[in-house]
Amino acid sequence: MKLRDCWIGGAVALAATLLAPNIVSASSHREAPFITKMPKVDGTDFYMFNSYETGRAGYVTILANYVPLQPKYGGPNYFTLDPDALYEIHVDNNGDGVEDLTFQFDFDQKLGNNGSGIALNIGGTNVAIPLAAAGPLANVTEPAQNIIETYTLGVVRGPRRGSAPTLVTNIGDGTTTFHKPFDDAGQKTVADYPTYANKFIANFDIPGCTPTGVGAGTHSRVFVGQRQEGFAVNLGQVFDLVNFNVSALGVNAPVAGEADLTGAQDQGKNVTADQNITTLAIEVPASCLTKDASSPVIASWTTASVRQARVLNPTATFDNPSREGGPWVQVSRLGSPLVNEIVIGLPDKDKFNGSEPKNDAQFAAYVTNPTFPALIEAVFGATGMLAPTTFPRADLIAAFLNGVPGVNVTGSTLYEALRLNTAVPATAQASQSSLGAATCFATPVDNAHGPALALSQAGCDPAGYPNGRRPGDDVVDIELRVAMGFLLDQNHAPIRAAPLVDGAEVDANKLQAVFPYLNNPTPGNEGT
Amino acid sequence: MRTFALLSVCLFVACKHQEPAPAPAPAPAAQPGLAADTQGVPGSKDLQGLGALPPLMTEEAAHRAPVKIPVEKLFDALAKGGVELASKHQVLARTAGAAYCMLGVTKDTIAIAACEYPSHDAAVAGEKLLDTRYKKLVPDAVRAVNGSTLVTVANADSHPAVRDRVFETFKAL
Repeated sequence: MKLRDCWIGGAVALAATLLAPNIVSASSHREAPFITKMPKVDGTDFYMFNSYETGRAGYVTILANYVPLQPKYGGPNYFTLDPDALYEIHVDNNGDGVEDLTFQFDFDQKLGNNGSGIALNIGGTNVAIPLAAAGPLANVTEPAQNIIETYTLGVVRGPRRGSAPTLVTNIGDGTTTFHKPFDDAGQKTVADYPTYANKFIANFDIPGCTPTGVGAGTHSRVFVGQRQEGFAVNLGQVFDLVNFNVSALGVNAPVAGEADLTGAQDQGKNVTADQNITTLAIEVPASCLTKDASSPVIASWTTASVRQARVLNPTATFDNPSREGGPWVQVSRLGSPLVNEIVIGLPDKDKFNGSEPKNDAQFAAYVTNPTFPALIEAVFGATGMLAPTTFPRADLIAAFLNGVPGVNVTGSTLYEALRLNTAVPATAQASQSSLGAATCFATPVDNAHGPALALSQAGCDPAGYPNGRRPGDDVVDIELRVAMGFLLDQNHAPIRAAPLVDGAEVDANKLQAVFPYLNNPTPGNEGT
Repeated sequence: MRTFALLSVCLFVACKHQEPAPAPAPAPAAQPGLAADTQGVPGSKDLQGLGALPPLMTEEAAHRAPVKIPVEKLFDALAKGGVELASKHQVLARTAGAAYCMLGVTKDTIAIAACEYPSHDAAVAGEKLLDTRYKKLVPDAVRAVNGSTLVTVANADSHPAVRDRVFETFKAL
């Protein structure tokens, strides 16, 4: 049966659903790209770095964030993951843009009280309560927890759909089941959230891999749960046509509240500071990710997929609100930060989300001929600033599609992913630069020779973005500067050295220094 | 509920084990070559795709201030004086607190931004605004006011003679 037949079948079924009496039809009036309709599978940030927690040398930490912009309050249902979706982290270790190793997270959820829901006897009748938690929570399993999320973690070698996953074993209890903590509803529900959440960090070993270069007796770790949003961005002004100190129609002082494009890195403009996120975190030996010891560079990205067809149940239940079927369809993809936000054009954003790196040639023009710098020049050209005038932008190809020469080049195949040289030692948290490896480049002599890497340069921190990405890397500031020509010579990028910022602070020292590295979530009752 | 079950079965049968057809083999990716000789030419000559920005600039173009030295007059004079512009295009004037601005770029990537103000005092204030607020963005910018027009020359440290010629031409108008 061809794909078209499936669509016809689906269309007929859906049309019948809409026409059938007593069946509710849903509609959405939002005009945003497709993924905004599916926040549970919307990947928001992706991190990969050599672990800098004490005693974890030789490990690589990978964090994939989903379910964007969670307000600290979220009850009564909070932010569960989609039990009908497949969340994946892919690793390519031979530079062909095809995954060689995939970690698959498959979630499940059920009601408390053995699936029937916690109930109260009201006047002789048992009545299910409407809340997700009926009392204090302190341990992995609690009778008071009324929505329980668990997951399995599978490993696939080779193409992700080429074979069935091998489920890893939770060393703590010998099963293949892992638990996800309840979101931080507030101190009355979870009195000590950090201690509570840490109980959900589980050990496992990767099937088929005997790690080298890690501490004796140590294991891989996994955690899935709510964290405080680690991505700092001046979201409102960036996406209001880069509305930084330009709204004054007169010649007075800058309008209060506007960010200064060349001001301090921290102007109090982080609009996501009190938001939460759901993090899928793994920490695995670098030796289990790389092809071999002589090939230390890996590329990685995260995806989320859902079944191609969904039929809504007109008499929905907790366990059966809809039925899903058909093949997996990828709806979210994320490697390097901000690529789909400010590089890929609007008509192709959903296509990018559904695409695989090996097919990225179709998006090359967005990188080689970017539109964002033209916007910056149109807004700030009256000052005499100029956007880079060299095309194709070979510097951006290095930054986004191929890796930086001398640091993390993956090969001749061009594809978008986050690249990490696992042989570059981690930088201790206290010594990290928020500008990451961008601090390791000197002014290029000319463009023909590419970015001028200067690892001995004072302040150089080669263990940060774009060599992987750590939570403390200010990727907005880095990408603003790279977009405006930081890796080009002065002749082709006159403002290459301008200290561009978005005014939202990122400071590694304000994040926790241990796995899963992102801070505990902002409690739901805070400030309310 | 029965309808739901039947539809579910239909859908499952229709889609069962149906992987999408494999994507066609991608075209060979373009390899990064040497930069094209595009110095002085902006990344985009057409900003119509930038949403709210073109209407803002259209509004600015429709409400230009009557000035002694319109930006076109300056650019024409520069061309006659041997300062050829590889490109020129309108930019957002409100950034400089101005009524209307254009940005010209020579083949040596020297930026020449010219802005029109409602008055001489406004132009002087605009010069002060740009000098203070955008000093770190364009640290080598040099500015001058003639009447109610403000000119900024930037990225010209390697071409001081061109910069001098721009200001001489501007002041002679």
